[in-house]
Amino acid sequence: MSTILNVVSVEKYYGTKVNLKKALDRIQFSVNVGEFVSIMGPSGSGKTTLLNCISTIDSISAGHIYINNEDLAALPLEKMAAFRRNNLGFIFQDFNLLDTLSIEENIALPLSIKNIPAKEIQQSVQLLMQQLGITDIASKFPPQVSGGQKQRCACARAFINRPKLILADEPTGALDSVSTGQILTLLTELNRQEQATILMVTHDPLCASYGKRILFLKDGHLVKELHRGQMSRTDFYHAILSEISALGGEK
Amino acid sequence: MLKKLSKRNAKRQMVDYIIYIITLIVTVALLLSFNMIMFSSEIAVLLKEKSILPLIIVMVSILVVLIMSMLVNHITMFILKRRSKEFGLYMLLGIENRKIANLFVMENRSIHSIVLIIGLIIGTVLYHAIKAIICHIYAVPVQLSVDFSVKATILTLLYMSAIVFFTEVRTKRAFGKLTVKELLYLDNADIDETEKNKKGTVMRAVSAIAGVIGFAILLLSIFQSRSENEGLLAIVLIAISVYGLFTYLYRHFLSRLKNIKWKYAGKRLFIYRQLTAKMRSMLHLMAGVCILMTVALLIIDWGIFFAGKVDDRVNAVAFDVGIFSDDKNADFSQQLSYLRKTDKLNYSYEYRLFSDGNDTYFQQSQKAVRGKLGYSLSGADIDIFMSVSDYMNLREMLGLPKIAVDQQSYILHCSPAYITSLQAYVNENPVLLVGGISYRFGGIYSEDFLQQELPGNGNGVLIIVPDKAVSALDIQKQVLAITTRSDLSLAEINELSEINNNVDIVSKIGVRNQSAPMAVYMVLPAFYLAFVLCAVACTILSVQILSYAKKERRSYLTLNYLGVGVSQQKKLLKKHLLQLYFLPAIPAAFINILSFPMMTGSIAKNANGTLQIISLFSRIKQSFITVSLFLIFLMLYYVGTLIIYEHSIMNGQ
Repeated sequence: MSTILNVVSVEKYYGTKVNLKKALDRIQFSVNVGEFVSIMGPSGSGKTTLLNCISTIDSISAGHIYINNEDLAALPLEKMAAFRRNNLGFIFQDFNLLDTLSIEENIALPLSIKNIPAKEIQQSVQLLMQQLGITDIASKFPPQVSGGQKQRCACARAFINRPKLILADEPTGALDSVSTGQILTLLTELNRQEQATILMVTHDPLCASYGKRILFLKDGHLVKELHRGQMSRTDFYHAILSEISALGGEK
Repeated sequence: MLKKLSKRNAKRQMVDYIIYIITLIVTVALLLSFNMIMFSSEIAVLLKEKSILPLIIVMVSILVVLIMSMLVNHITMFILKRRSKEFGLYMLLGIENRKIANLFVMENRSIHSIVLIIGLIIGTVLYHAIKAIICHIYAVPVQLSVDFSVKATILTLLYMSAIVFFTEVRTKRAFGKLTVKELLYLDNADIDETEKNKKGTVMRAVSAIAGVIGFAILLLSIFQSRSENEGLLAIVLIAISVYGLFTYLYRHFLSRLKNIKWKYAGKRLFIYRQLTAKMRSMLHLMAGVCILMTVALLIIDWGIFFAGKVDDRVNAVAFDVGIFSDDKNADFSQQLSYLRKTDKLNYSYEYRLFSDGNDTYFQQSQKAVRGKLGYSLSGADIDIFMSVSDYMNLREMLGLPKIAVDQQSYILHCSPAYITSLQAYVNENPVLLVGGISYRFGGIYSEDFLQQELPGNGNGVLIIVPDKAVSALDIQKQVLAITTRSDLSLAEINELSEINNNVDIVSKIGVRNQSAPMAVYMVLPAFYLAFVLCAVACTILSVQILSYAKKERRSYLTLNYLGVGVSQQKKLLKKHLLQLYFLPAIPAAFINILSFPMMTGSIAKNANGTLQIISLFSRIKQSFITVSLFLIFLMLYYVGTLIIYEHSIMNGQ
C-alpha cells in the first residue's frame, strides 16, 4: 500500500534562544493511503502542533513532512494555499462553519473556490448530503442546527473535495455522546467505503479506538504506536486504556 | 483600582475607535477655526461691519453640535452594548451601577479631553487655511500670524460640552436601569422577528410610495417648471425611499443567491453571503447613512455652485475697468492719466453705445429667464447697439478671435443664458430695420463682454450694426474700456471714481468685492456642514463594520484552511468593504444627479445679479465635481477602515 504521509525527524521549537521550548522532537512516522490513524497524548504533548505542521498552517524547525511525495518544507509560500485546497480536508472541534452560508453552501464552498462548474458542485453536494443524512437541513444556516449536524456538515465539507488526507482536530470535543458516536461511525464509513485517509487528534480513548492505529505523543516525543490488527473495537479500547495508564495517565 | 482600570480601558478604546476619534478631532478643529473666523478683526474688516457671517457660523455650528451629539450618543451606546459583558462582570463583582456608569463616563471624558486638546491645536492651524481661502476670494494678500482667541476657545469648549452632555446624561440613566442579566445578554439581544417584520413591511410600503411620488415630481420638473418647495419635497421623499431601496437590494442579492450557476461562479458565494448577512443587520443603519450622504451631497452641490459664482461673475466683466458716462461728450483724460500714473494701464478704448428706443431683443432674451424663473430678472430695459468697428477693436483688446461681418449684416452678442431664446427669435425674424435700412442676421456670439453688470454693454444682449447704421440711433453712453497689466486695488478704483462722480465704474476688483461676501456666507458654511455630515456618515459605517472584525477573522481563517491564499483573502476583504461603503454612497450620488431639474431652477434664482440658466452639460459637470469630491472623501475613510479591518483580520495568518 502506498504512503500518503511521511513525517521524517520533525522538530518544532517555540520561543527565543534564551527561552526555547521544543514542541516536537524528532517525530517520525508514516501513514498509508486509506488508513485511519489517531494521535493521542496529554495536553501540551504536541498533538495539535503536529497536526498544524502537517496541515501547512505551521512550519517545522527541522526535518521533513512529505504528503503524496511533496516535501512541505520545500513548498513555496504562494503554493501552500493551492496545496491545501487540492490535497487536504479539515474537521475542527468547533466546526468552523461559516454562519453566513447555508449548510449546503458550506459543503459546496471548497468546490466553489476551485471554480468547479455549478452543476457538478450541486450534484456532488446533493449526493454527499444524502450519504450523510443531512439533506433535510440543507437550506438551514449553522446557528439553526445542532452540534452533531454541524459536525456532519464539516465532515462533508472536508470530504467533498476528495482530499488525499483528512485532518481532524478533536472532532467530537464539542459533541454529546450520541453525536460523538454518529460522527465517529461516519468517519469510519468514509474511511472504509471511500478509502479516505484520516489523521485524527484526540485525547478521548473511545474516539481513538475507531482508528486502525494510534500514535502516542508525550512531551513532543512519539513514545508508542498501537495497532488494532484483528482486535475488536472494545478490545482495542481496553488496550488503549492500559497503554495510557502505563504511560502515566490519560492527560 | 477603578481609576487605573478606567485609564486602561480608555487607552484600548482609543485604538478600537480611532476613526471615530479622528472625526471628533476634526470637528473640534472646525468648530474652533470657524469661531476664530467669527471673532477675527482682520476678517471683520474684509467682510465690512454689518456682516451676517457670525450669525451664519453660529447657526451652522449649532447644527453641527446637534449632529455630533447624535453621533457621540450613537457610538457611546454602541460601545456600551459591545462592552456589556465586561460591565455585567463588574456588577457581578459587586460594583454599584452608579460607579460603573461613572467609570464609563470618566473613560469617555478622558478621550474627549484628548480630542479637545488635539482638536484645538489643529483648529488654530485650520483657521489660517480658512482665512487664506477668504483672502483668496477677496483677492487680498494673506498675512500669516500666530493667532489665539480666548473667546473662540471658550465657545468651542461650550460646544464640546454640549455635544457630550446629552450622552453623559443618557449613559448614566441607562446604567441606572440595567441589571446584571441584561448587561450579560445585551450584546445578543435582538428585537422580536415578527415585530421587526411588521415594522419592516410598513416602512417598505411608506418608502415605496414616497419614492414614486418623489420621482414623479422630479420627472415633471424636467418638462415643466416647478417651485423650489416642490423640488425640495421631491428630494425629501426620495431620501425616505432609500430604506425601501436597501430592502429591495437585500432581497435582490438573496434571490440572486438562489441561482446556483451565479452563486458558485468565482468567489461570489462567500462575498455575497457576507454582504447579505451584513445588510440584514445594517439595513436601517445603511439607509440612515445614505440619507446623511444625500443631504451632504446636496449641500456640497450648493457650495460648489456658489464657489464658482464669484469667478464666473468677475470673468463676465471681461475688461479690468469699464467707465460709463451718460454725457455723450464725456472726457476720460483725467482717468487715463491717473491710470498711467499707476503704471498698470495696458490698453484703453473709447466707444459709444446707442439705442433705437425699442426693447424687442431685450424682451426676447428675457423669455428664457421667465420660462425658467417665472419672472424677468431686471425689469424693463431697452435694446443697446454698438458699431462693428468698435466691436472689432474691443474683441481684439480682449484677445477674442476675429470675425467677419459684411456691411449688410448685423450680429448679436449676448450672455450664454439667452442664446436659445434669441436664436429662436432671429430664425423667425432675421431682418433688423435701422434708420429705414434692412440688415440681415449675421451670427450670435456669447463670450464674456461686460454684459452681466449694470451698466454694461447691453443688459445681457448687444446688437452690433455696421458703422453707418449707428448714425441713425441715439447715443446712450460714452464708454472707456480698460485692460491693465496687473490687478488694480480697491483703493485705486475708489480714487478713480473720485475723479468724476458723474460716471459709473465697473471693475473686476469691484465686482469681486461685491460678490465675495455671497461666496463666503454660502460656500464656507456649506462645506463645513457637508464635511460634518459626510464624516458622521462614514464614521457610523466604519465603526459598525469594524465591530464585525472579530467574527470575520474566523471566517477568513476557515477560508485559509480551505486553501484560499492570503492575497486572495485580502482581495475578498477589499471587495467586501467596498460593497459596504459604496452601497449607501451610490444611491446618494444618484439622487444628487437626478435632482438637476430642481437645482436648475432654484439655484439660478439665488445667484443674485449674475443669472445663468444652468444647462444640462453644466449640471452634469457640477454633479461630476460634487460626486468626485465626495468619493475622494469616502475613499479616505474607506482606506482608513480597510487598514484597521485588514490588520485585525489578517494579523497572524
